Amino acid sequence: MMRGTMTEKTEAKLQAIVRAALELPPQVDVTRVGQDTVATWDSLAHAMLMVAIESEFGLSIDAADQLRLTSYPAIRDYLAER
Amino acid sequence: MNFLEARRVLDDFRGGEPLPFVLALSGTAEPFAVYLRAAAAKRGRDAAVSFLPFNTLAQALRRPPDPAAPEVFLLLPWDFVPEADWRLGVAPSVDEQQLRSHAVETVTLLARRPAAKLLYLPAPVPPFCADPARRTAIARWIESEAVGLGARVLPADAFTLGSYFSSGCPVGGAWIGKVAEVVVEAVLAPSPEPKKVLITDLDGVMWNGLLADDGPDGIAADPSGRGYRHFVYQGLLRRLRGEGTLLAAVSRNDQDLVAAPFRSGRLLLREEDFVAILASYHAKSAQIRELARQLNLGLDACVFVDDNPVELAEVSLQHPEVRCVAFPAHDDDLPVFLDTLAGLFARRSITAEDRERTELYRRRLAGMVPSDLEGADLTGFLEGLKMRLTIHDRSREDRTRAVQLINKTNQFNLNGRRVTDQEVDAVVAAGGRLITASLADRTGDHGEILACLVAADGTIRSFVMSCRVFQRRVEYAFFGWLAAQPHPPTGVQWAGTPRNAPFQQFLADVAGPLNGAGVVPLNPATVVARHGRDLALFTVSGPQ
Repeated sequence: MMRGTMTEKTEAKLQAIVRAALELPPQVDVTRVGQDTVATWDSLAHAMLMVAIESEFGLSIDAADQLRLTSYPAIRDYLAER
Repeated sequence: MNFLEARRVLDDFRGGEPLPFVLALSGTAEPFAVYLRAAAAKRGRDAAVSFLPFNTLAQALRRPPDPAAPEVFLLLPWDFVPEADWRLGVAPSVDEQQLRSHAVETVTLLARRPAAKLLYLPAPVPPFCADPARRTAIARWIESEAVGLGARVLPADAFTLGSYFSSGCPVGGAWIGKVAEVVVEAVLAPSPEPKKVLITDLDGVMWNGLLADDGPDGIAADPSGRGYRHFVYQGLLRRLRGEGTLLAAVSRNDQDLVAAPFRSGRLLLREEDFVAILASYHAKSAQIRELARQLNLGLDACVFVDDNPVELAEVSLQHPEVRCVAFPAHDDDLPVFLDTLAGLFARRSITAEDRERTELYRRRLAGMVPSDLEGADLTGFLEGLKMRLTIHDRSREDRTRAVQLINKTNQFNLNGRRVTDQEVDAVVAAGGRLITASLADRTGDHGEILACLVAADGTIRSFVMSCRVFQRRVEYAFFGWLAAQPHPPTGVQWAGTPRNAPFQQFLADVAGPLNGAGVVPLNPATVVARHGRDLALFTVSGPQ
């Protein structure tokens, strides 16, 4: 993964993680979701999502970063920067 | 197992036997859910996992466990020492004594849940005391307390501070799948119920030497030289007995002989430390079965210790539930042996009832007599030993060992008669023979273990065998071999002694019922026909 960019494969993987972790139905556009628009995205689901991302991408996310990764675009950008 | 793989496993899972359990940890456990369910599904089980409410582990420990839901505790340093919790920051000061007493309280509460499976995650701790050496010492002490409770220690790397800070889940994404697998394995592992009865052999195990041959003064179990190994073993048994383990002894010996060493005051253990001391020449498996029946305990509660691989095989074949442990042949193997034994009887707590258990069961077993039932068929096991019998003609020379064997063997002895070298000379000069046999097998070289003095008229005057090789059918094979030789013996000079019951049993097998002392006739053709199968267990060479 190049700094600031994300391959299609990686992005597809991220979408699969977010969709599965938040149990989003197929018709929802996962690239636009955020904690303020998805009812199932509570603090517990957020913890599970963060662990899922760490698990899939083999990284550790600092607490401060975890607190601001509350939308798909934020997560996408964060991963693209890593 | 990462997240998407866990999801795939669950999507493909078609259901299985429910696996209810509680994962108890102080923090947020919910992120584990999908990984735990997937780990269970991979093993064909449908996990029904529940968690404690956030940070309520200390309260949960004070409630009785739910028997329907096995518990797995994922313990962290701050479950023992709250001052070590990162989420509380760094304490301005700590009272080390108070800190240790809190830890001991947690240990005590955990010890009261013997069915719980424990995992310990040795997470790094904040600098809660000024001296780093003290902090390290406390951290290691906590870990040793957890290990002392039987906890499996996880890699410290599994702790993730970022995850713990942000959500309270102490394990981050890199490790959560692996830890979930360990949790499910712990749930599925059978509960290591401590064993209840330790059944021990005597000769070569409780002491060095053979009681029937060496006498009570010739055996050794003192803290010096050849007795050391047995002294240490008795020390462990004494401790286990004090913790509630029932001790019993099963020995190939005479009943009137075996209690004497325990009454002499020379051994660490006394007669009253045992619920039963059973001496018999019948199968040990039969004694163990009867003992368990009279104690009203399952055979799976029993551990059997013997130094003879044949005895261990016989018990193991007949009672696979009994845990058989070999007494070590070398001092260097003693630590592992003792550790194994102590682990089988490990208890997290000991009650007054545990300490009084021996006396209670002694009363129940008062008057118990050994069983005379048959043991397991050892043919298959004996074939696997690849036994090699070497026959020696000692008529003319090198018969020191043979004469020594005749003069020191009490149990497997035709008539108890002692001989001098001159007497052997006279028998040989008159046309007789002195034949011995050495035995070697997969377990080692047993040396010259049998001696037979045959007079010129075909009567066996002396026949002895070391009791170290009982159960291997050596005596039957030797008789089968001897009967097939030119000029085979036609009788044996039999006499009963207070100690030769094993020979009487053998002779009755070979020659039929005995009527008093005197020459018992032998029919070589019958012996050959009857014991050819025993002879086939050995590769025989000689006479040399």
